[in-house]
Amino acid sequence: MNAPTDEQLLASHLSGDPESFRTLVERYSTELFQFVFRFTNRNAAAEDVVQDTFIQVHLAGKSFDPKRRFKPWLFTIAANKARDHLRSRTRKREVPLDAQIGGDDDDGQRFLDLLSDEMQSPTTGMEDAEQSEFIQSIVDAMPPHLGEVLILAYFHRFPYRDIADMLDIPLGTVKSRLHAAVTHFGTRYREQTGTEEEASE
Amino acid sequence: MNTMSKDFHNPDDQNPDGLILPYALGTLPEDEKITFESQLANDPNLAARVQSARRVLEPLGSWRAPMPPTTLVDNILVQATMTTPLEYVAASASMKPVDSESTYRRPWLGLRELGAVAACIAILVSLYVPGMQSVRSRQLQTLCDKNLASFGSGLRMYATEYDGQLPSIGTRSNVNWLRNDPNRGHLLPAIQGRFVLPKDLICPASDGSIDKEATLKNIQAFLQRSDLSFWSVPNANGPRPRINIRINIPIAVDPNPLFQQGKFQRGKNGTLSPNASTHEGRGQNVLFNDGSTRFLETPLLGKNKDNIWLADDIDEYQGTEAQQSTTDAFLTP
Repeated sequence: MNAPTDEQLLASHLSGDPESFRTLVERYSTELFQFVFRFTNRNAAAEDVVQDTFIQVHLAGKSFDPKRRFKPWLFTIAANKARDHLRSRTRKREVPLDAQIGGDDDDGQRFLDLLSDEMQSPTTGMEDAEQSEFIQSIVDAMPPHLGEVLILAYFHRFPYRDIADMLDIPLGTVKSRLHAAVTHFGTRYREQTGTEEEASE
Repeated sequence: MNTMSKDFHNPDDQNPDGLILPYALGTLPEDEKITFESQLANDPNLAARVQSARRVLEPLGSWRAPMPPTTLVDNILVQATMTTPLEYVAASASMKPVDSESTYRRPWLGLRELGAVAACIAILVSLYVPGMQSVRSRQLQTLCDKNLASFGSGLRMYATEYDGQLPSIGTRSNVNWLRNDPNRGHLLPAIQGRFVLPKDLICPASDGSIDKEATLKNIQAFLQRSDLSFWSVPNANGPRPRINIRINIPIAVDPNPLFQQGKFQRGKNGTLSPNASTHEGRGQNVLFNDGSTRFLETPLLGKNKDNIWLADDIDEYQGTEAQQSTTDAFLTP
């Protein structure tokens, strides 16, 4: 027997079947988490965004257009929330280090006073994940509208048409952005690794 | 000027050049893929450009994203069960009979039936309320575990940046965690660096209300709160564990039941409480230095039965006690 489609599961969830929602969450939580992580570069942020995304699906599932497909809709919600998160992260204020220790009954000493020379600087050594971080740094440095198209196309294999729907841009724009993203990536990669592109045969 | 665009893709072309990139990405629909592959077989130049595109894309494959925490699915489902979709409310509202005002109907429940229904409800309540409380407690335990796991994730990220070390504001010889120098102050660098969010230090099961997270939105509140849920990192007087040591030890746990409001607590008969009271005494959420979290039904760990809340051979605590080694599981507030 074929597994129910995403759209069938959502319809079933909306009619009151909790198991359908669980199946949807289990089907997409990992892929969605990794998608958002590549946007935000933080585990906790990715977790929050994925939770918020599924809760929105739970709360507003009825607004889903059944003529469309579920997965691009789900990723659209997640991408919007990831963008919101990144925007809010850049707005957060720095907090001072001069807070007092132990509440009201202390002697006025502050944590800043206790900072010692023992704190180490961030390591600059080579690590196992360096190659992954290197690739991530290239994509992070891209203009965001190129990075998101590249992530959607390469890591999640969305067809151009779906990406156009998700980002609400014309199909031709998806093609040109993806082309620009891949070219950008290839150029930066070669620049930073010092490799030369092999000649086409 | 790079030459790649000429090699593998011109987005304005329809066929076949415009299909090189989607083919290399694996996003071509099946019918177009079959057609394209037949062209590919007869056109070595086209095949070379596909190879060129694949070479450019190949390094992307080494960009690894982590797996989500194992609690993610459960957390989502718990949140969903605590939230009612608007359409459910609308649907139930629309089920009211349209002609209820125009038609008189004799009540189908008499006094006797009402009495029977009330008795049934009373029996059901007596049966299920304790069960529902237990369900609620387990939901809060899951939320608590989620925050703890998130907290652990932040600590690991901090340790990655700082050569495996947990956050610390340095050491002093007169730190007294029983009086007014809480060890949570050592988390300050991780919070300042936004590796750890203050809200992740809250266990809803402990505080009784998820809304209390709002009170921890700034550092001042974080330092002044005495009822933080997670009692983290060993005393500054002792050796500080590193996040990547080989032996897996706990680095944070639900509130210690023995030290409450700065005082050492004992039961009525002088016995020590075995588990945190946070989760109805069933056990405690524990964060380990490998980032994993577990719900332990006893505070004793490992074959040596190391107690996470007690230092060995000490009856009266002064607030200066610390772990004896980097593998000592003793955690202080």
